[in-house]
Amino acid sequence: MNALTAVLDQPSPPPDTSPLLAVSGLSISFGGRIVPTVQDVSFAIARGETLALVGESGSGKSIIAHTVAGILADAARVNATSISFDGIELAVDRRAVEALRGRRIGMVFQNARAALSPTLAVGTQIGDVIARHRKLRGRALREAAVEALAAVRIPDPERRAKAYPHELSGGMCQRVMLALAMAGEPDLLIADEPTTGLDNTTQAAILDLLAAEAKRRLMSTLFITHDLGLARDYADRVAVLHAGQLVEEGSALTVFDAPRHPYSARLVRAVPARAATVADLGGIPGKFPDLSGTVPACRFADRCERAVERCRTEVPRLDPVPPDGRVACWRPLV
Amino acid sequence: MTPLLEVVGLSRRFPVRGGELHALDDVGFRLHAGGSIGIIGESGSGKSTLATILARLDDPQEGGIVLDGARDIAGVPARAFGRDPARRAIQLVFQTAGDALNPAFTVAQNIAIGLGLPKINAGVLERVKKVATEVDLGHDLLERRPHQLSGGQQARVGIARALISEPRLLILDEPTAALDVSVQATILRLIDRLRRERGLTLAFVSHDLEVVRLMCDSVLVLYLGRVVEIGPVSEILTAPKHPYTRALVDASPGEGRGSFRLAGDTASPIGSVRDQCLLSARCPFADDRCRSERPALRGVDVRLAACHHAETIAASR
Repeated sequence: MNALTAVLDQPSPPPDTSPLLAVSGLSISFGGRIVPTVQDVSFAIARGETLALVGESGSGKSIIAHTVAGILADAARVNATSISFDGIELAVDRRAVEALRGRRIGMVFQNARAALSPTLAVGTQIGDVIARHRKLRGRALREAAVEALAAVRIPDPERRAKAYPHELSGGMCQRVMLALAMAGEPDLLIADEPTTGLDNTTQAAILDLLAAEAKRRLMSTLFITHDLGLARDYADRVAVLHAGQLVEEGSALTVFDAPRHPYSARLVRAVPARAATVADLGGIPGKFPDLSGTVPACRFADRCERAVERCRTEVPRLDPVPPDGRVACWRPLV
Repeated sequence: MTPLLEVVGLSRRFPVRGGELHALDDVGFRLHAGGSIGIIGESGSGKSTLATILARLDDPQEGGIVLDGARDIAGVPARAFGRDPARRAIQLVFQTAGDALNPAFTVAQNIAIGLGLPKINAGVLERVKKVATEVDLGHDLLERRPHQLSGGQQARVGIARALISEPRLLILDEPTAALDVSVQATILRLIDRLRRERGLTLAFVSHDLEVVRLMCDSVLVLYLGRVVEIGPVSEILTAPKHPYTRALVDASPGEGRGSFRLAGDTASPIGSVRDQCLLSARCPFADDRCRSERPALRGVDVRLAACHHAETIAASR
């Protein structure tokens, strides 16, 4: 028996099975609106797991991400039973998240250029983050910054490290921001549409990189996307949001192959890869509910061909779906 | 049968610091009436340059664009093409519909400008209404401004503007790239219906191979301005014979996602090293011949591929 197998045969310590992030009973309201923009949403992310938050524009997925990161605008009123990050309660003391952000919680958002400092070369910005985690200085620090840029597939990283954000394309800025987030070796990465606008080849490389990090360091990812097909490929679990309500949650393959909520089924039908011909593609009928007015109890009711009176008067319970999913629907698909 | 469009030896170079950027290099293809060709490739491959030149909004340095086998419209300068009778036959749908609309014009004016002027008289209004109905745009929206519309509605306005002059060839430059997947689905169905109802011919630029599979019957693959593979969608997207196409296919999200990736980065499009395969530095199949001889686009089964090793690539997949 060689040394390696000897190590592998050692019983490993029991893995930490408590979720890294557990959000429960999260509601978010904005002034002047009768109904909350996000209503009573709960989800959890295990260590090393990628959870995709999926829904159309306006579903509330980005403001949930902003809430977890503690960067939601003051105008919003946040109510939550609990937002627990590795045992640290963030819902009670909003300042608790300040100590975690940029360190244990990393973020990649849309509009990356706006998130970078316009007055510093991107290599310097990444170096600053690396220096906080590793004892590197001078040339070693510069080399580590270049390596971080190479890891997110930035061509010619030595040269690009000296560039300022305005000298880079949008896709390139997006990758710089990802390098910046990853340089902090976060336990939780919040990625809001991290590959929107990028080529498929770059998208595949970046999502492969995130998957490798998830495996190597047990990094968890909250992955926000409007594309259920992408979620199916890269997430372990998906949570489907419609107009601020969590309508279904489960393993990515199960939700994609056998959606139980009519809205999830509609999102699946919109994925081009699933369609044999263009006639198989389907959009989502009806209008997105206007959250500045009153809405039916199940906010999908007015767009749903299965809706009954109860859907308009009583918010559906989130019921378990075997083996490990949940669906909030009075008349789920079988 | 005479093709609706025959493109021959199209080249477009931009002067840049350090030499010339070869955006398009000897690009050619044929498009028959009622056909639909997908144009794919990564950013910087020349897709949008090709779309812009086909729509005659930019001029190539070399090459021809022959319409109906009769007239080479490549020679008409882009700035004069607005007054050319062929202008109405070829229309472009832009990538970000919102940005391509005039924010100061009403929706009706934005559609009417497809006829040349944003002037609305009774006759024009009739045509605007007719085309709005065709693209499922409510007439109550016609007096609004573009920013008051949703992304999907803006996309419909862009399509209506292109259709009002009754074109035969519609060039679509990533028409759904900025839209949610669910909105994209309805716009793709709309384009497909219009294509059948109006007998339109399409040139469809997209980075999404699944969209091209659904919308097109042939596909042209561009790498650094060169056509590397061209042929029927069913062949090229399922059994690519150029390593670059294979890398694109394997990187496309979906059930059959493969693991073939190219090494390194796209070569620089600037400079004069043109007597080699531009993919040779990144390609696992490359040998000395690839580094010294530019592969010609040649027949490999039912498609054309520009690779010295096309047969090997087919076998290795």
